[in-house]
Amino acid sequence: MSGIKTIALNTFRESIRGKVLYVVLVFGGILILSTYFLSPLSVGSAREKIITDVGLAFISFIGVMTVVVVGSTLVHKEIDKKAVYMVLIRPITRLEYILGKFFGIMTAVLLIALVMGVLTALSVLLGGGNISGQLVAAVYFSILEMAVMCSIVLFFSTFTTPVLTFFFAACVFAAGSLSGDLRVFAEKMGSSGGKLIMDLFYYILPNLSIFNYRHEAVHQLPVPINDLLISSVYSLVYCGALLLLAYLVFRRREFT
Amino acid sequence: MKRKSVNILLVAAALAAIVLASRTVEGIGARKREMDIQYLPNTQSLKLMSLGYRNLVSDILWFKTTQYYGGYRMGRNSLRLFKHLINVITDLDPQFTFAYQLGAVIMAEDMGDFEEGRRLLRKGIENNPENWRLNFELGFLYYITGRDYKMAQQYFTMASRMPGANERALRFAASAAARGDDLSLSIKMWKHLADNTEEEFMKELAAGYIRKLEKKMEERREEGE
Amino acid sequence: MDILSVEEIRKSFKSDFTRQRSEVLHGVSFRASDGEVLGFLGPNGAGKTTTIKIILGLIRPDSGKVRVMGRDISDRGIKKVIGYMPEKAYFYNHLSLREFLEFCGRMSGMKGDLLRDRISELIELVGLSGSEDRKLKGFSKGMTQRAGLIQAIIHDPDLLILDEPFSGLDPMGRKLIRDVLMRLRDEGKTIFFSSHILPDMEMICDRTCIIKKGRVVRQLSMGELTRVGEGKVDIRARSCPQEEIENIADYIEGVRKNHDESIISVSKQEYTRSVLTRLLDCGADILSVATRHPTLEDVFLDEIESGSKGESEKQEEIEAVTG
Repeated sequence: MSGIKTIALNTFRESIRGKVLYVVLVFGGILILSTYFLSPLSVGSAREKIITDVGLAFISFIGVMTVVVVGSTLVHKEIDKKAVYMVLIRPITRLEYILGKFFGIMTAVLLIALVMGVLTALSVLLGGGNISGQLVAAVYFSILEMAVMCSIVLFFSTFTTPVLTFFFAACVFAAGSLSGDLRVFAEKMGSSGGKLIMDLFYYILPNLSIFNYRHEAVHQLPVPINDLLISSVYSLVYCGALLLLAYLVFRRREFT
Repeated sequence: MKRKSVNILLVAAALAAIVLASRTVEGIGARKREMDIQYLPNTQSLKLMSLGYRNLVSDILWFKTTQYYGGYRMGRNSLRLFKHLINVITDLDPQFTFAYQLGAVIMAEDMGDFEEGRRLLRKGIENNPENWRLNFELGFLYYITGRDYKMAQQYFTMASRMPGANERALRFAASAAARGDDLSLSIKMWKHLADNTEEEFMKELAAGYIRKLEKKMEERREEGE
Repeated sequence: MDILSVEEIRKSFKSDFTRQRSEVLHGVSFRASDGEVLGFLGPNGAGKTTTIKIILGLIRPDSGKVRVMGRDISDRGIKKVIGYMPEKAYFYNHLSLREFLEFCGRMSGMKGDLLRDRISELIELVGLSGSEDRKLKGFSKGMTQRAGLIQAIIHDPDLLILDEPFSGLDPMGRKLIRDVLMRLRDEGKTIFFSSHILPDMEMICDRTCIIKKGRVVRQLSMGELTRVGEGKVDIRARSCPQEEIENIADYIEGVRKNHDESIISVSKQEYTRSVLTRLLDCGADILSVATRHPTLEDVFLDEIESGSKGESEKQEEIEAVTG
């Protein structure tokens, strides 16, 4: 257990130290705040709606971007520079390594999401609105989404280059976001062979649309407690499964 | 060897867990999808939020719209929000000519609202003045749904004067317009429309309408006997 | 007890381009007993690094067994008693020395004041005091070698494995490493290291394994080296009259002249006394009397070259038989 903690801390430090991170944060912060300045262009309560909608969209987008960029380079750099030897020769299992990396990156991303969440909340308050429970819930669901993407990025990074990892992760993100629509598209295929493959694909790709609670936050709609539970478990199961797969791949790796 | 089978088992277990979990959240996903369409913001907000990626957003919305129509055909939802969707899509990307074409046909035929279809095509023509297909289709709609043969002829003639127009189809269409209400001719016109388009969707749509008209022709013949 | 036992390790690699398998290790076997300093010697490409990586679990052998303290290396707990110093600085360069060592120590199960004290003690031992808070990125080659040594012994392992620990160091650096290793040996640690620098190996090893083309071709103890050639003595003398040398010609194998020095090789040990007396009598200055034995380099080169000769001899044999 302490192995996971040590590696997580080291990974967290390394994620935070990268200059990319600061650029992302500043960029995100500026964008969120700029919506506050842009929104007078629209009428009435639409301003609060836009701030909330855009703010949450950015948290989701930039959070996922950070996960993908940091995740795709971190593991590969370590293996490339052979610094990973320092870990592998010690009484640390490869599973502890994978889990440590995951928690390290997620902690860094959590920090970013919280900072941006606070900025969004501030923008809403400055615009005269209130911070609703839905806003907080929406940020929570975004974090669940980032966790799923993090496990996917780690999985790819155990066996392929940063560029390919980024590419695959981006594809999975796009497909996962449009997941439901792709399913309807697949149903039209008719033929059982093609349909089975599309179905399998659909079920294995992460269903990221379920983590989108921007409508609830913007239009003050209720968020069912059931959703919170089910989606949290989904995120947990998905991350667990993918980290297991990442471990299985990493366990087989040889370091020549 | 034992290691390998354990690995395979673990992979299978991981995939099974994912599939099970995905099935569990399917309901939530479907609900979210409906909400995406239901709570589509107005054009102005969307323009702001698209930040220069308007075409991309319009493409994604088009994808959702076609699935929405698909859902209607499978009896899952109504077309209540269709008008709004098409309007937003064409606002974000005024040069998306196919959206006008398909949108107008669906509004006129499936929703029985000729006026809306006409309005949409006029908007399309305004934004794409050199496009012969939009004029052709407006003529087509006037003929089939609006039953206004003079206007149909007018638009067919306008379309024939534009670059890229398919001569044969247009001449036939123009002459047909002069003859007025004729079911078999209408069917032939739909067939020509289907032949002149590369879009699968349009062909499917045309086939559907042809079947409807053929059924009507059957009924009329039986009544006549 | 054998601290390290390597039995019939075989390993082949698939080349990315040609899709052919090339066998790198053809059955490597050797042992290191408790408290021994075992050297690992071989030309480039012989398989030294591959063998070491297999022992550390970075590569899996196709067949064969590796045991440390009687336990198979797949036993995760065994890593607690192994320390590894890599050939190059494969470190987390964005960390400071202290942060890096804390990281390594924690992963080896150390913590708290014990870890901190040990880090300070070792930093001082290798002479890196004052650089604790500098980033590893800015370290010189010699400094990184020393940092590497610290991380290898920070958890007080029983078995220390070093890959070319002397490479790229200046004489002072080499002496430092040598001194630390000898101190560890005195503490009873088992040390296994590969090197190209033969004099250092000769100085501190108890035994040496020579590996060539993926096989251990010779294992010899340093004691053997000194025994071989027992009886030959070299006398270094100055101002030696030529006639005297001719007088003792029966007792000597040869004379080598180096400026005004003569190196006289006595053929049998029992002649040493008489030759010495003769030289002293004729007024020569005796600079040194030393037993002449082959160096490790001699044995090594001999082993490497004999292999190639052996092959061409084998080829002749085969041709003779098949005609």
